[in-house]
Amino acid sequence: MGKKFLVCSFAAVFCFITMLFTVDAKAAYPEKTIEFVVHSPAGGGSDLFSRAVASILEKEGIVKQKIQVVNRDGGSGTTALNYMHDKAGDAHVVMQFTTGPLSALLRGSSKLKLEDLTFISMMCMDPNLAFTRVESPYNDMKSLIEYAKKNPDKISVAIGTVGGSEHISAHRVGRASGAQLNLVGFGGGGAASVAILGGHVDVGFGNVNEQMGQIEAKKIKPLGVMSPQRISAMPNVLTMQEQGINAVYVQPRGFWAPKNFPDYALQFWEDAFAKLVKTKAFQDVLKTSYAVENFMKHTEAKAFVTDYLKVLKVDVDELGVYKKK
Amino acid sequence: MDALHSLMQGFSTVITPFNMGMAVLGCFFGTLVGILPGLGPSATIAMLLPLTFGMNATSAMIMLCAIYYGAMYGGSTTSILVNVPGESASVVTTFDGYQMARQGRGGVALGISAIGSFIAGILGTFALIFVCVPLSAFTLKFGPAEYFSLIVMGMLCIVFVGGKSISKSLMSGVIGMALGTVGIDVVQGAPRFVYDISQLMDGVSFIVVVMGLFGIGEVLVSAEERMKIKTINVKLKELWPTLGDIWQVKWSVLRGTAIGFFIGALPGAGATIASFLAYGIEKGVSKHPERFGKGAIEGVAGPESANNAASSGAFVPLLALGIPGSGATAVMLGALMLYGLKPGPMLFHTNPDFVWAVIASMFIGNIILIFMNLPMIPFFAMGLRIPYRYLYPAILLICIIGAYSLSSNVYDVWVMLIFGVFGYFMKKYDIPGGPMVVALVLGPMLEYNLYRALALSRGDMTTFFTRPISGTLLAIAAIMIVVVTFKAVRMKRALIEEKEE
Repeated sequence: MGKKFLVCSFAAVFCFITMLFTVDAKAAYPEKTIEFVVHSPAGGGSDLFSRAVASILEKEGIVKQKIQVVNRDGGSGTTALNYMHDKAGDAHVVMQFTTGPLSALLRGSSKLKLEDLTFISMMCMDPNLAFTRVESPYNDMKSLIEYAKKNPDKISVAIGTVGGSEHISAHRVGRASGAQLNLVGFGGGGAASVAILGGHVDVGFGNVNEQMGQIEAKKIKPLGVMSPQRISAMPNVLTMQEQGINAVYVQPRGFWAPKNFPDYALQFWEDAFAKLVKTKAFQDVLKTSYAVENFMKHTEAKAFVTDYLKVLKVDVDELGVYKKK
Repeated sequence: MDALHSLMQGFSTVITPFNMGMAVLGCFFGTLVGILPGLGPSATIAMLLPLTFGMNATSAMIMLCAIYYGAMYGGSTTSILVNVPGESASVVTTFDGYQMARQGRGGVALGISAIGSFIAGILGTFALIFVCVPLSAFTLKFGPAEYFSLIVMGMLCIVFVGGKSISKSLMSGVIGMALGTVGIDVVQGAPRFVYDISQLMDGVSFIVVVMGLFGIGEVLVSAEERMKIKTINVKLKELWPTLGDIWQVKWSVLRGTAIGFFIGALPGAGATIASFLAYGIEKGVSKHPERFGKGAIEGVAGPESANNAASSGAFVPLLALGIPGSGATAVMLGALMLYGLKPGPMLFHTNPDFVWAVIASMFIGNIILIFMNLPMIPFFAMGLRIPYRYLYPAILLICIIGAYSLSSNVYDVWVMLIFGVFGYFMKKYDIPGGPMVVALVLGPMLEYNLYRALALSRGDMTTFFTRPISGTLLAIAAIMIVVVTFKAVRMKRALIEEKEE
């Protein structure tokens, strides 16, 4: 309690003082502390990405003002989207988007619509992979799917959140191959990993970043990657398409701002993120998290996400998740 | 002796002025957030994380770990003094700790809790050194069926943490389970009892319910009865536990440590469940279970040792498997990645200096914490001399700020106040709140693991009995039911005799 309050009051005092000295708003943008909104609670993957980006932007002097990461978690992205809705026209609020908020947009659980957002940029893609424990008889997706086709419902798949990235990946693999898989929701990536390490479940889908430690320790072996190309961290692992399964899934990560975000602010942030991508510190973040750089400016990013959501909607409708029962 | 050698090297890394400073800082912040209701260790760690950027991984991790186990020390303070749990693992401490405070033994309760925490912290760290790897291999044998059976065992605590009437305890438990079903279910992702309120999608927050039920509820009831309650007159010599008190609870502390460490090491179980189980066990083995809920010192010692040991245990999956077992360790895992370390089974081999320094820092951290906490006890306990007309508004204020701090949202404050009113009526009608919070924590876990186990066995119920660990746990649960029934009958008899006298 104390810490948060203290930070807030400091921020408030700081804002006030800077406001007194600011004459020309546009020339001096950003004129006060920037809010970086994250949809996940402190400590999640998205939260850590935002905090890393914020600290690099400050340290490299790309953004001269303080950046404060604000966690508006709740409702699987809904709370953050509602917050963005209420911040329309605010030039000092920027939010990171990834699977969570995108699915929330898709199910329309918030007051906010896609048109209400001002896209700034796409940053990178998180690759996903299929994996199992080393003791498993399967060494690639091809043999596993062949078995699954002959034995419907016999292969169990651990997925984290229902409707989340692992669920979509597993669903796409099942749909493309025609194999009937037994999908079991574990509520989170950690619990799913435990079930696979313990041999309780046959195969899992997940983020490359989360599994890398296990893969290097030879506790887990990758069966195939979900991205369209092989990933540099594991050049010998085939893509799904190379294994005859026409399924692709990537997790986009980027930034957007509220409705009526001023043009000068959009310009500022687009430039800031373009500069960020070129820094060594950011490239290191990508490297340690095994993410693939995929920078796009705002028009391109908007078109990409719009398309992405169209494809995702088919999966979500087929899975029938988020429907009211 | 390889481990001891590595540990000594770890100590040499920790005993530098900077790293010691980090440990002290972490212990201080940990104790502070532990004392303040609402904000828990995981949120604090995440908020302080940016401060550690630019430090080396070892110094940063020493501080983050200290926050985590420091919070377990601080958590009991408000539980004991004003019936408001400082964080979720200290809920059970309110049952007997608060009663002890009402009897003028608040200082004793605080002291026992600190000493129990210290012993559990030290023993837990030793356990971490010697059984980390084999234990992590064993915990992997726990699949959904095993978790289900373990939680069935935990659910029996409903009867233990309740009051005299078993039917009222069960009633309270059912309400808790019902509250646990609110939110998006993990099975199909369907919203249940959400009524288009986006905050309800994440379910009913446990800590908010607890703060309302116990904290606000207590304030309301006492406000009504304020004419009857006298300010507790704490005598100075009663501010510390005597050696006799400590000797009395030696087994409770050891039992709490053992159960806490094991439950903590199970990924996904955590300190809260460990504290419930420890309380259940203490009441179960006690020759005088009727003293529980009325200020039994074992009811404070067991759970408080358990939650501290669980925080050591939580490092087993983190260090040995690279998997977070709790919210706070999940944040640490993310932090490790940011520092450029690769958490996973290889961490012990690739970064032994780091791992052993962190483990060594836990010994030092626990020593710092006991020296930091013990001298504060008299001051806290003296706080009970404050007249209620000043104390209660302060409690209300602390609760409201605490609820707000959870996610900077007024919504949580309203939920807490609603449960405060609910708690008032529950107290009036003598329905215990304990079973409700146990069921609220365990209910969703019971449901999900039941579903997962059945999905994996394709609907075959025998999976719970034929899997050896699961079957054993269920057998223990069955024995516990028999014992509970037997004790309940005996308690009832004692009660009737009491009335006749």
